[in-house]
Amino acid sequence: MTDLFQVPAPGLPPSEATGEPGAGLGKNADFVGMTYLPAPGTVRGWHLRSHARDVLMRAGVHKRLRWCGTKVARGARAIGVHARPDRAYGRVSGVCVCGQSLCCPVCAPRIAAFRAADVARGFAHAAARGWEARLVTYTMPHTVTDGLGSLLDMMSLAWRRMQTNRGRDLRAGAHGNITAQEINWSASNGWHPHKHQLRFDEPGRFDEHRHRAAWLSSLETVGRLSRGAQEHAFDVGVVGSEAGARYVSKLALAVDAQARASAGVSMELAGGANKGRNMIALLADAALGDVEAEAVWLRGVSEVISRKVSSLRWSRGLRAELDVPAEKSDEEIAAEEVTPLDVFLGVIHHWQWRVVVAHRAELALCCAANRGREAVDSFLSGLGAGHLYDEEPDGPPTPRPYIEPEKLSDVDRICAEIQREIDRPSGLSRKQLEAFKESIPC
Amino acid sequence: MLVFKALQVIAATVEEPKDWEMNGRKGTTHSAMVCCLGMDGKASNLKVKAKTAEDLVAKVGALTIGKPAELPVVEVVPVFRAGDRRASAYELVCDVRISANAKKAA
Repeated sequence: MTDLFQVPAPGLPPSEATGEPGAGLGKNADFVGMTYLPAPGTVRGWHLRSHARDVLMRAGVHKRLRWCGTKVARGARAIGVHARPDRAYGRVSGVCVCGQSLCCPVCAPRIAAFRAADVARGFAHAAARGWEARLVTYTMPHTVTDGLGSLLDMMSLAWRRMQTNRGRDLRAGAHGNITAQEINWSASNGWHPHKHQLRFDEPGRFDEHRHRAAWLSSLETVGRLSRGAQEHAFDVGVVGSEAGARYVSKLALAVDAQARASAGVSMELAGGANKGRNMIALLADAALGDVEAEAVWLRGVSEVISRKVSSLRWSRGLRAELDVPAEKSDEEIAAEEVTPLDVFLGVIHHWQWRVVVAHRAELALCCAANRGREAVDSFLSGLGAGHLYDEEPDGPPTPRPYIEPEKLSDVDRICAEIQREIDRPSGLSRKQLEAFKESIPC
Repeated sequence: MLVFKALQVIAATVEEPKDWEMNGRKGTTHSAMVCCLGMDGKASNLKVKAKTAEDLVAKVGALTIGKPAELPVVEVVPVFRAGDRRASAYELVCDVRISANAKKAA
């Protein structure tokens, strides 16, 4: 791999130093001098997503999270490779993302950052109008044997009853709220779903006792009112800064949310975040070999992705009132951003993409993309995946050249297994699929 | 010898050559930063140094992006922020272990 990168001679523009225009770094000389490396959190997130994919594949869970970042979009004949000189890594087009805001280690931080910016903007506007902001936490008594699915169902039922049964007294003086769902797990207490709500009220109009009583009565209707609920099921803290407002969205969604405690929120409230691990922390422990964490994560993910658990919800009309831009869906936010400096380098075929996925090297491909076309060619040839193509194939996806089974390497076997899994949901039998593939001219 | 076993090499980037002078001697250090995924799933940025650009190319060129690698740790350098007396972080300076097959191929 001698052309991994070109080392420019000191004192000379890189294109002259290397003797060729933009040599080793594609045709665009603007790539030269890029010294960005992806952030450690980004690398870790992509690694955890690959691990999650393997776990879900072994468990036979065919949900969207399993295909995040690997499945080729319907109708895409090839995968485009793009460079983004203004980012730490490039991007690939034609690949689906899951947009899961609680469980996906890549999509969730992206969604969290975007939503946090919205919340901060709304908080600033609300503060300018003199509204009082409070962070209210709603929890529900639970035991270690309670399943996440039943807890989520009871929580949402109690929540709906509180929303519909509240009298006008509780709504008086309230301008709106932003609610985030969080799910933690601990070995001593089991699953712990709860909601954090950033609410805006007229000064002096918020009645903490009435809201507490309303929540506790809702818990009683679902049979979850216990002795400890009086103290712990409802908590309120005043939010005095934008950092505290961002805490609402990041708490539920960020990978390292449990390590953060905003200065604008009471330490008791923030300390609650350190009890237990969220879904992504469980996945991180599972990647290190924690078998219990893996089993818990798998159970939790199965429950969460089978329900519509919203990441962050604004009350009706609050966005317009605070001049916050219209809401984007989680999938739109999670998709890789197309920047103004985006440069199309070429395409890779489906079988090449499968080799990259088998090596868990999607991020490495994106990093190579930022170094130019030759770096991508070098990277692909290092994995035994050919080279970058200029255009999409004219016909159906180009099949890989036939290799006799006894000559297949481990990577090829993994690719074949992935291909079988990708093809299976189509509803065709294996014989039908093989007959179809044979009919495709090479 | 301490060896950093990388699960995967993510990217490598060249730094600007740095001139140094000490006790009347002068020279230039060429270095590169290699972003690797460690065995614990955490990313690390390791520094690879060489005396000449050709050496640096040979060292980093032995790495394959997307594949595992072993990097023996040569030096641990403390990193100080402006005004601090204690190091805020430590930087690992590594070499690149070239396998016997790669040497034969070269």
